[in-house]
Amino acid sequence: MEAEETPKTLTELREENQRLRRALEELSILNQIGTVISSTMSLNGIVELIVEESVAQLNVEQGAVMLLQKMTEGDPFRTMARKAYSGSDIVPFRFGQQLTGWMLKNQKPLLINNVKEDDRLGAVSSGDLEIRSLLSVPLRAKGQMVGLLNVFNKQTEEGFTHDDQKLLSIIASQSAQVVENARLYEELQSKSADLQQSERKYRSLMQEAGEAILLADFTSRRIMEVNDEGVRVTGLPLDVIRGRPLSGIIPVDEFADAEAFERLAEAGRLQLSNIKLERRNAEPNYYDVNASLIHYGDHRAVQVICHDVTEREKLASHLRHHAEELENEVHQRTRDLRESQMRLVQQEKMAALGRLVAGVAHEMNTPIGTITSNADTLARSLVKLRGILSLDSCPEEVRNDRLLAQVLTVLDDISRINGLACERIVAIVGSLRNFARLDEAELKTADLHEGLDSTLTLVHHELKNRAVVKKEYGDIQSILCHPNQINQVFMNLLVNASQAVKDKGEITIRTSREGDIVVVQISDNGVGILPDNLQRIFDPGFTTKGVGVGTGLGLSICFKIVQDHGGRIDVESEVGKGSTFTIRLPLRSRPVAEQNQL
Amino acid sequence: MTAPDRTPVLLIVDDEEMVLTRLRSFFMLETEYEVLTFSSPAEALEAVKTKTHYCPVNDSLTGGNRLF
Repeated sequence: MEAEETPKTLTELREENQRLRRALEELSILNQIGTVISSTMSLNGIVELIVEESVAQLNVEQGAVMLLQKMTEGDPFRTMARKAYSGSDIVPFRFGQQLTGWMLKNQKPLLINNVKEDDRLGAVSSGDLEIRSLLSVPLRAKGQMVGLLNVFNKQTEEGFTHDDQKLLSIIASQSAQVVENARLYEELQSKSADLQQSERKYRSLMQEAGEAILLADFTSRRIMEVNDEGVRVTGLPLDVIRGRPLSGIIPVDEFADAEAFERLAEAGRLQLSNIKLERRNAEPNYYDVNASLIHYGDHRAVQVICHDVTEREKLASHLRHHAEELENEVHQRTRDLRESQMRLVQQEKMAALGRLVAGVAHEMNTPIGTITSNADTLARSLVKLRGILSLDSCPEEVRNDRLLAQVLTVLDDISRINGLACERIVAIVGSLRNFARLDEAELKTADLHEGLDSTLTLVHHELKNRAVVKKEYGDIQSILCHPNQINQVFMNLLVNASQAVKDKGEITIRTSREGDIVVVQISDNGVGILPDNLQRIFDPGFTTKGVGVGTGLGLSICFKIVQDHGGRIDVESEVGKGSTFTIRLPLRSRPVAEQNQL
Repeated sequence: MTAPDRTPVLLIVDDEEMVLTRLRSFFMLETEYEVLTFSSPAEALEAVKTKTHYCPVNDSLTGGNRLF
């Protein structure tokens, strides 16, 4: 039979009782620690509590919690709290470095009951003789050593026991995470305080900066902060600006939608030039806008700095305006020069043609005179021949010869037609000479009717199959002018008229006098001129004729010639009904020769 | 060349052949004159030595003209 439960000895029971009491104490300590932690969360408070309880529970003179400081050079431990038991003074503690060095290296509890005789911490100076015994355990959070929990000078004869070490280790393991949490929390608090400090600094900088600065939340794109200058620039009260969308104050696409904002976030910053900002009751100003992404407290924020460039813009726009004006002036002058050059070239061409025509006309004098004279002589010869044939002495058969009669008839016809042909040639040559008067440099008194008739003779070929010319000449005086130039005007207008009319065209030339002004009107019943073209019709280079047909210079030259004579030329036209050009010339022109000297 | 010819003579000098011909044609047809035409003044001068009565018709611009 197996024995029943062995009755426990008294010693065993006492030990059991002691264990239970310990466990109860441990629980009570932990409970206390937990209460303090939850109520205060202060690192100092927690550490003090831990030291206090450790000193009390382990019956020692002193205790200390040393926390490992991250990233610190030299001694990596900071002593957070040291507590002397029952009010006695804190003993100087000079071998901290040896102790912490050993603990860092070995990462396990250290128990020394006779410091003087133990060499694990090396030589101990006489000042440290007050430390007779020590127990040190690491504080571990998530496997990392974050500090040490130490107690010194056990107040019993036997010194530190393994139970003491176990108890201290339990306290350490229970409180390490709490201490670490409290430390982290405090760190956070301190960082947050730093942040608040930096926010204050930022705000003060913002205010002191001369530029308008707006700060908008990145996510909502609404304005959080604005400085005084920003209030002044927008002309809106502070409470109105706050909370407004950024794009409502600075109207640019880059601030208007979320996508554009994302691009700003990628680039980190954004620079915009010459943004126009409307202001209430004031002229709009222009700004260079510089936006950048910053951290403001715990926000991602967009800082927008507006640099006033209104003056610069005004100056630039002034300069641009000035440059434009200059440009225009240059264009205008170039155009004027080109026009006057074209006109000069054309006038020179006409003058050269005039000289040529006059030379040709002169050269034709002798041969035409000869033919004219010969035609007359031929006619006379025929009269004589007929006289001879009618004489009695002329044999009958000769007188009645049929061939002779035919020859005489042919000669009669030729003689008559030659005469007419000569008259025509003489008229044409005369017109040519009249038209191309070589006295162009001089003002001459000229009969405009004569000029019109000469011109008509020359354009006869153009007109004969197209139009009937009706002359309604009034009583006009001869005027002082450059006849060849005036004739050129007539010729241009007559040729234009002949090109405007279709079959059964009619061109009417009227002359009249209005006081000291002579009026010449050349009308046609042709196609007319479109109103749009009517305004540009005297512009150099303007032509509705095909390329290579018209130079576009004819009417501009007419305009110039008439203008140089102190007169004016006007046009009236109706599409489908015809056009009338009216030239008004003073009886006595201003001297033009001088004006032509460019 | 003994007795001087009494027929009146027209002496015409011009460097243009067509002028000479047209004048000669007209005068021969309409007058009794003998018509002499020359395109060179030198020839004309030579000719007048043999004639006593003549009426000169002369283009005074004709080159080398020394008739007057």
